[in-house]
Amino acid sequence: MKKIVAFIKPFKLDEVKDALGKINILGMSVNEVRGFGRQRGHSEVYRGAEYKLDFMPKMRIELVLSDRDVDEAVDAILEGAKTGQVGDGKIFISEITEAIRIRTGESGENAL
Amino acid sequence: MTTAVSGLKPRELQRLAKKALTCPPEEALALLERLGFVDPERGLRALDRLAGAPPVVTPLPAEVLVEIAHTGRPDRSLHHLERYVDVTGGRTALYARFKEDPVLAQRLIGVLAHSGFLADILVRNPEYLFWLFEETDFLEKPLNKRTLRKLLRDDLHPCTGSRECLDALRRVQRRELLRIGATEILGTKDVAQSGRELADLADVVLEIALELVTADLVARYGRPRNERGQPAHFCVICLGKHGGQELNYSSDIDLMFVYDEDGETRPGRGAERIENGDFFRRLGEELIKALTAATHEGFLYRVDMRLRPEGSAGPLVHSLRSCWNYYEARGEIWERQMLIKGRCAAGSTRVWKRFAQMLTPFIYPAHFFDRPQDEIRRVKERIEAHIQERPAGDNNIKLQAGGIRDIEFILQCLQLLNGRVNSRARAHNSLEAIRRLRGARVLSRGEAEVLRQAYLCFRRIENLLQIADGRSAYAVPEDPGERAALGRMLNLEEGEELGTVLSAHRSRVRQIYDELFYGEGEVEEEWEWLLEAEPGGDRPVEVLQTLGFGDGRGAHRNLQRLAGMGVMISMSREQFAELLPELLTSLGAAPDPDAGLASFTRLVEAYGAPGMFFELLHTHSGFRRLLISICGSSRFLAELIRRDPGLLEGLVAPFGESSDMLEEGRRGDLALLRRYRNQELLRIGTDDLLGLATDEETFLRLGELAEELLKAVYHQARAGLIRRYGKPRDRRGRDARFVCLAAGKFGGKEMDFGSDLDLFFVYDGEGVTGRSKTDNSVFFIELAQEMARLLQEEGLYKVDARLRPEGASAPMAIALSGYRRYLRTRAATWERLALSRARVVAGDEKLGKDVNRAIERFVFSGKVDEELVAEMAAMRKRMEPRPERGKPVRIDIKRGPGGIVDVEFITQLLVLKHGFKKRGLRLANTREALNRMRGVGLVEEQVGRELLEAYERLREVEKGMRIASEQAENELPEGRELGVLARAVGEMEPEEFKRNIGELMKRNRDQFDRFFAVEAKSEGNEE
Repeated sequence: MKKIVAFIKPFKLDEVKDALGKINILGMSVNEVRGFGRQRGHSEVYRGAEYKLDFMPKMRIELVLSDRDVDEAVDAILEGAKTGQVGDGKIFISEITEAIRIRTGESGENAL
Repeated sequence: MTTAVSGLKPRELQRLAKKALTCPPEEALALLERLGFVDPERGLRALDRLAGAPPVVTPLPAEVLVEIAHTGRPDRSLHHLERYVDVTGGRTALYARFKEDPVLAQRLIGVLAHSGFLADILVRNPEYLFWLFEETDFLEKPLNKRTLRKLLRDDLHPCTGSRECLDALRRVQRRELLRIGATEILGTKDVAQSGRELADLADVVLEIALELVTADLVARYGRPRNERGQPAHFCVICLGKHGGQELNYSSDIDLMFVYDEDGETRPGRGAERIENGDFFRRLGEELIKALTAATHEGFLYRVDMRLRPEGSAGPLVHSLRSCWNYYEARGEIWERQMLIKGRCAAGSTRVWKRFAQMLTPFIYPAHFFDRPQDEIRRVKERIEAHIQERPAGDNNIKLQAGGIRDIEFILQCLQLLNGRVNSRARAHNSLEAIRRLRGARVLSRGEAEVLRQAYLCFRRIENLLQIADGRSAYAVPEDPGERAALGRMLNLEEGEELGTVLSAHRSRVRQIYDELFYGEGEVEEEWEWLLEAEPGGDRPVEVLQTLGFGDGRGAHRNLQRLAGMGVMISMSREQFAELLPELLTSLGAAPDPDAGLASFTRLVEAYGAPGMFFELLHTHSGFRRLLISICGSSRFLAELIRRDPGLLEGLVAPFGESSDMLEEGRRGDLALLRRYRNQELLRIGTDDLLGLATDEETFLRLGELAEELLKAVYHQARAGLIRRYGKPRDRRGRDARFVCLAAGKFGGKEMDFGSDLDLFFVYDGEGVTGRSKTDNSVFFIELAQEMARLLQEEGLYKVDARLRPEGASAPMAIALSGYRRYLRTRAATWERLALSRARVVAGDEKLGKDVNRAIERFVFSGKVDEELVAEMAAMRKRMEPRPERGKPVRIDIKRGPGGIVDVEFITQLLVLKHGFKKRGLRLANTREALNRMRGVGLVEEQVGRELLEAYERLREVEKGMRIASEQAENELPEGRELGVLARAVGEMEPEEFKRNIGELMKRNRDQFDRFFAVEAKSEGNEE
């Protein structure tokens, strides 16, 4: 099992959800976060400093999948989230050692 | 001139003093009373003792008594003088010195009159008198830290062992305090300098004390080293007034101890190994002991360590890492304030540099979750509440409203707010901070001056009060005599009363303080209830209408929608409530409040992450104003953002990024090209809205943008056709050439938002393409068609290609030879007019020149004759909109009578007429041409100016219509929309605005008629 955490532009969330929905990935958790990434500290066009932004709103989506679904899911996120501009975000993938459904006690991929 | 002694002239005073020293006691008592003594009997006894028993040969000079009377505090002066004379012995010599050096006497009495503290020092070390007034150079000359350090080290040179050295240090510190205190009393240095010298003194004392205790500890435990065996370092950071190099005479010094790396000491034989943390803790403890311990030589400083991380509860000494952990996680606003003043007083400057560098992002954070004004105000209110409990009295210059504390809070708050982006605004010294905040335009000239004057006055009083008795005092004395004496030392003007001066300073400071900390709060009303109120209820609707929202019900619906956005995943509601006051008042005052709020709502919805978005707006005032202003003034720009929220990020992105977009767009990514267009339109429009560009610049930039995009489209279309057909070549195998020309507003570099592109295309080189052997004419016609298609289908621009020879039914591109023939033989006279603004915008430059030459030859082929003028006038009339039956006639500011086109025609007529002879007058840009004609006297000054003004105003209104409403209409709207437009172009009364425009157009039309009649007639006469 793998966990995918992706940071995307907020207005790309619907497209990402749609793209994931097309491959039947429906469950995920979503959070608003402050993105302090490469965009941070950009000097602003208008009247110098006054319009400088220190962070940009980002969406953090998190999903746990069986190994075989990962590639497809990553493609779907890429498809939905890409604008080609700085700040499109990042995807992180990590290993999950166990998953347990609390209600039934099922474990492993059955719990997903 | 009178003296401090009421009503006495100097000579009289002198006479009385002399008499008092020699006459019988009864008479002397009365005289002393005259001289201002409160207790003449005691004074007389003191004089007797000063005279000695038996009286010394040289008596106390009368001048000394004069000086004593002069101070306004004769009792105290005489008392201290007696104490001093008592310990010196040798009165004869002393009085003789007084006699021959009246300045010495005057200065000594001045110091003694004011300060028991300094008198004590002199009594303790009488020899300091001559050192102070005769030996040291630094009673008047400023003393810098380096020299001071050398002086003190020289003084300590003979000492051995830390105990002896510390005692010597206490002595010389006392001596230097005497020196600086005397400069204060005598007014030989200003507040800034004495504060600096006091801080330097504390620095050097700390430095030496630290060396002494370090040596002791190293002998016992060895030198502390990090895990790699390199030495670990320690730094004494000073804060508060000491850090600000504005120290006074008797406050505590605020310190913090920091070391860089953990590890262990490396002891010599027989010594104990301890951890660095332990070593430095002991070092800190020993240092504090050295500073605070009172021996027979007194003590050095009282030390306050409570500003360190975790305050009194925390460890005495912190590593850099633990400081960082603390501030990062738990640092509070007062700690930012306090660290502004931080400075390395002693120890390793490397540790200090790392500390400062590490903490700068904490002190001057990128953004505040709460407005720092609010937080600092809370801190200040806590302090003020505390003062209420223990009243400091009206006379407290430090704590009362408008006092020193208020000034410090103002400066610190403004530095916190501005220090991040404007590192010039950072300064640990208050006077320097005022100067820098002024330099950074954060303070107005007036405010800076108020703060500076008040600060100098308060601090001078504080210093004088403290030096008087060596305690930390901040209360101006009640006693009228004392007040008067203080007033004299402050050099108050005659008739100025200390109390009045102080309260004037305080009220001016407090005003700035209130504006900063409470200013916005006062006008802020409570709107949050709107979010809870029944949707569309009478009260909310009424309130919103009063605020300027015509459709109160719709506005209320939008507000509630905004408040409800994303509540499932964020704290957006509270964040939104915070924005409410500014959103409502700013949008309410915007040209279009209703559409503004609707745009804002849709925009937030489209962006997503409402909680974070509201927070972003809340913490970034510039960005907030920008967005509200876009929404409130331009449906066009707001809609651009709504359709692609990423543009908003582009707006605040650095330069360069969008040109990458253009580059990639050129290579074939049409979506990027469209995005680039929108991005740039947003930039240009925003600059225009914010007044960062003139109308003329805006029009110019719009033209440049169109040209960039057109070139990109050309490259892309050409590349596509070459892939399909191969390169078009002429019969001799050279590349066949192609050029795209613009006319109309695009040609004249005066495009508006939403203007069409008037284009036509010319090629040269008969032959076929390389691969498919397709005829070049087919290739180029397809190229022109493809360009027009891409521009239109991608929604970049509407293209008008009717200007091409033979008009709409002809092929899109024409060969140069055919075009030349056409211009020579078949082109209509009116085409001279249209082509007078033609210019090359894409394609082969050399061919462009050839085409241009042909066009120029045609346009300026002959005089402007009657026929041409008549034809132009007729053509102009044909362009006028025809009123439709049953529909009210609307004012068309472009094509209507007296509209923009009238001025364009007049200008083109002039260009054709005069450009015929003078090449320099062949100008395509209406404004430029009119200006030039006026400049060379071809149009009457007055007429030229009126035409220009009318043209500019109409163009402004036209732009207002495009940018405010996204409509490419030319007719003045009615009703609500008319109001929006009027406000957008700076008029409050819609009907009046309409009337004004009507009158302006009527004058234009009169000019048009005059020009075309006159020209027709004059040409007619010539023939």
